[in-house]
Amino acid sequence: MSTRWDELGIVIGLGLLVTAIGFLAARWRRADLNHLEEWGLAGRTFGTVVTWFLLGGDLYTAYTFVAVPGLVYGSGAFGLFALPYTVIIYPLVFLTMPRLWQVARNRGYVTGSDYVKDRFDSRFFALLIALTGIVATMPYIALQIYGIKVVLANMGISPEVALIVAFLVLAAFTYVSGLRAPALIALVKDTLIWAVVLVAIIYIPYKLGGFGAIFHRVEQVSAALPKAKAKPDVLQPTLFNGYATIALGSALALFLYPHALTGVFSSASQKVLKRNASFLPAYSFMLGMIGLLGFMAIAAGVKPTKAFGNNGAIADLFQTMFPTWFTGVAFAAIAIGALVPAAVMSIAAANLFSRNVWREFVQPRMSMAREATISKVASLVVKIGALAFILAVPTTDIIYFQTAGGVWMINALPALVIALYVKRLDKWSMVAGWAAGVGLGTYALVKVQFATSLYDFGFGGKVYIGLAAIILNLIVVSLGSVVAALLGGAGRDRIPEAEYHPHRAGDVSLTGTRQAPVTQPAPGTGV
Amino acid sequence: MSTPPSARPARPRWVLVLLILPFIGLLFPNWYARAEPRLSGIPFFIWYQFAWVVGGVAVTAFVYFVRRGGEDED
Repeated sequence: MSTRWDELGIVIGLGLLVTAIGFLAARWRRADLNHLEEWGLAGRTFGTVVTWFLLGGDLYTAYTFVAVPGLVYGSGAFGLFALPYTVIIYPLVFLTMPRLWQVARNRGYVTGSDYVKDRFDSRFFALLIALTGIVATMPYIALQIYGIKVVLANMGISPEVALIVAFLVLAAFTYVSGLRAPALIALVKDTLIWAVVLVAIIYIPYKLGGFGAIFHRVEQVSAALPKAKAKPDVLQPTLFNGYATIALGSALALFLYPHALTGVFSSASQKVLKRNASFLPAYSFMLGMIGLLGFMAIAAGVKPTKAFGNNGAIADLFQTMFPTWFTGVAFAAIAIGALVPAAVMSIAAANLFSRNVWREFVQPRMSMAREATISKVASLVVKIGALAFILAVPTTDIIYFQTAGGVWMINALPALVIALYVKRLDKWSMVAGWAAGVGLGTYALVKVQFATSLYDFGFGGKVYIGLAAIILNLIVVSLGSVVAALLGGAGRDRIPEAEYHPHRAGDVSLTGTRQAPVTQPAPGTGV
Repeated sequence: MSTPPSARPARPRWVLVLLILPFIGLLFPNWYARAEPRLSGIPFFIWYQFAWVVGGVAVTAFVYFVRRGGEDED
């Protein structure tokens, strides 16, 4: 394929704009970036609007935008599980995240594992949860690069050099500006994505003769295929349980991911989170529309690409349907869309490393500035690692890692969410539950050779492996905690209940029990 | 922020039960996995789930507005 210079020019132009914003972000809400709460959480000052853009840009990733229509294009209705998943997640966020945010704010936690350490008085259990997060995040960052790769390859340029340049730039401005960079860039990213999706969802059906014609064509194509390869536009009964369990399991797992918690912790108040739980589903609507593009690709007769299989469908569809300049805008939206989550994920993984690995086990008495430096350097290492990963490991393997990552990550649910409400959890039962859940999940994944995340455990047909894993985990945690209580060793929450609520005047004595000082935002940096 | 407890508006807890509605509406695909009735050519299975995005927003926003201004909001 020859290089498409007009598309490329638009992508490079928007790339330069985003780079400038990334570096200038260091001056936005100016504060001392040699402090981890400033570099890694932007001082916990983000209001409703910034948080909406940041979380939207962070959770609805470039890989999602490629993979969801890819899955719909490849297997039809099942790919739409992204819709129930991203609807039911928000009642859960509304209920749980404000409480986690409040205790994190009161006690200066930067990571979820900071809470686990304090809650269970165990740096080893905290390490376990931190490593789960880091291991689940690495392939996720690599898949963001994959999103850029799909776009670059479709413009006819060799992806390797361009990827390296894009990632060096990303690494540099993340190092300099921290979380402020992806937060500001998210404004550009989300605006572009919204524009592209709204145009696509009107213009492409117009060209294909309307939604009726599109689904009529999908049904014809599907009927002509052998049953195992059909692409139905309505879910088939054999997949009912798989569909429901993967939606529920994915919803339980998403906000346990380090990059999601970083977005949560950086917001300014409980109110900001509750409002966002109400308004973030706008992105779910958009994701659903992107999923429909998979059906449009079937109707338009797009063929799977050699290099990317079904995941090349959306890029091909855009090139078939749009004038070149708008394809350029769409590709830029996907490429920039990869930078926001990649930046937040690398910051989140780096914070876990500096806080819960380095400070705990290597250098307990380091200064605030040193801690921030360790995080900055770790964020570089994480990104270079992800880049090496995507250049060296076959993509199908990385997608398997990411599937496995979700199955492992969901096992942090007892430590990060259940522990907020249930006081009498026994620490060792928590560790055993984690091990049982991760063990069962990994066993089932090996059985299906990591090629899918559904497995038939012997009841209910094929169900989501992660949901089975968390059920076993919860059973072990409950039984273990009851036994521990009967033996007289009932677990207890080391954190006073008052710490889960806003501090009031006169409550200052509560802050005297923690190991790192609570950082209040500097005057004038408020929302 | 510094309002004394007695002056705070009551925050009804029962409305939290409403948050279960999206789960009931979406986690039983056998209820909605069918093609008819279509909405301008879009199968019921698909437009029903899109409708729940709006439904989810309505439920969460309603719960938020009924319970806002309580003790946990500073």
